[in-house]
Amino acid sequence: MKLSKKIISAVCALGMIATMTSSMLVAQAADVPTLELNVAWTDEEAGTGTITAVLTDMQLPENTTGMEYAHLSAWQMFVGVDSNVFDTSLYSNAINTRRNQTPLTVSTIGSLTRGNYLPDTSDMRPNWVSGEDWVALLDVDEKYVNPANIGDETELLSINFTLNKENLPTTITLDGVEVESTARDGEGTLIDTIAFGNAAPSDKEMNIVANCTIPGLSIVIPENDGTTASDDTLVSLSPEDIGGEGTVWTDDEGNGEAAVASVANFTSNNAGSVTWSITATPAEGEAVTKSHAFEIPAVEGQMTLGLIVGYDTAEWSSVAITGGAIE
Amino acid sequence: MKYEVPEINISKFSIENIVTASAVSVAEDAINQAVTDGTITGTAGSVVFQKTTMDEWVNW
Repeated sequence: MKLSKKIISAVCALGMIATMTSSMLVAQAADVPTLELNVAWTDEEAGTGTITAVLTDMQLPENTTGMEYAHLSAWQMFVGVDSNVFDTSLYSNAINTRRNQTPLTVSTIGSLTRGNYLPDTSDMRPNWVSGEDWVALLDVDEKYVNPANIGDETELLSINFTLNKENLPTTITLDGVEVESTARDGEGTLIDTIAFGNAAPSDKEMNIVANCTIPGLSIVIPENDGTTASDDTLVSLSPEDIGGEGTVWTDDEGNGEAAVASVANFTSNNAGSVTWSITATPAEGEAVTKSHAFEIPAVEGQMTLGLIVGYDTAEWSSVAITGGAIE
Repeated sequence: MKYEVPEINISKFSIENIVTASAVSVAEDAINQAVTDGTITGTAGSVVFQKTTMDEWVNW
C-alpha cells in the first residue's frame, strides 16, 4: 500500500497526526511552571518530525528591582530517545559543545535547531552524550525574554528527527530538568535568580510532562461518505503493512498460492450488494479488468467491506483490487 | 467377500484449491487480528469480507 495511507498514531496524541504530546503529568499544580515535551510530524510520509520542549507559566525572580530584561536559561535537560528509532543522517557535527566537551556519540538523534535563541554568539551549545541504547541531550541554552512575556509559552529546544519506523514503538522521555529565570540589569549583572525543575540545584516545583510514547504503525481506513471506493478511499493491505512479511499473503505450505486484500468504508443506505473490480495480469498475456457483485448485509450508515482474492502465482503475475461500489 | 476400494475423485482435492483457500484464510485472519490489535483503525466495526479466487474471476 502507499505509505501515505499509513500514519503513526500516538497514545499521547492531541489530534490524530499533527501533534503528539506527553502522557504523564508529574506534580500537577496550578501556579508552577510547566515544561512539556511535544512531538509533531514535519512530513508524515517521510517519517520526519520535531521534538520540542515548551515552557509555560515561568515565573520571574522576586527581586526584579532595576531589571532591564529577564534571562531564561534551560539547562541540565535530558531528553532520552531510543537511538535505534532515529535516523542518524540528520545529525550535524557542526554543533559545538559546551566547554569543548566532545560528544561520545555523534549520531543517533538528528539535528538540533537553536531557533531564535539568544545570543547566537554564545559559546553555550548543546552537548550530546550517549548511553548504550539511549541518547541523552544535556542542553545548556538560554534565551532573553521580555519580563512582561516570561510567563508566555516559550520553546526551549527543538530536535529534528527521522524515524526508523521498523523500530517503533518507542518512548521519548524528558528527565533531569532545571530551568532558571534570572533577573539582570542593563549591564547584564545578575540581580536575582529562581530555578525550577527536578534536577539539582533546582529549588522550586515544576510540572514536567514527559514520557511520550510513539506506538507502532497504524493504518487508517479513511472515512467515506460515498457509495464507491477507489484510490485514496480504497486501502490495499499487505502483510508487511500490519506487522507481517511480504507484499502478499501466502499459504502455510508455500505452494505458490497467494492472496491480496483491500478494505474500504462505504456509506450505505441498506445496500444489498458490493461490486468489486479486479485487474489481473496473466503470466503470459495482457492485464484484464472485470467486476463482480457480491451480496452484503443491509446496513444503514458507515460500513467496512473487504475483498480477499486468492490466486496461483504461476498463472498470474499480478492481481489488484481496483475499486468497489455498493448499491 | 470382496471389498471394493472406493474411487476418489482427486481433482476435487487439487493442491490449487486447497492452498488457495488457505492463503485467503491467512489473509482474513491477519487483517481481523490487526483490527483487533488497533494496527488497522477507522473501520466501522468488524470488516465484512467477500472472498474469491482467480479461478472464479475467470468465469465471471
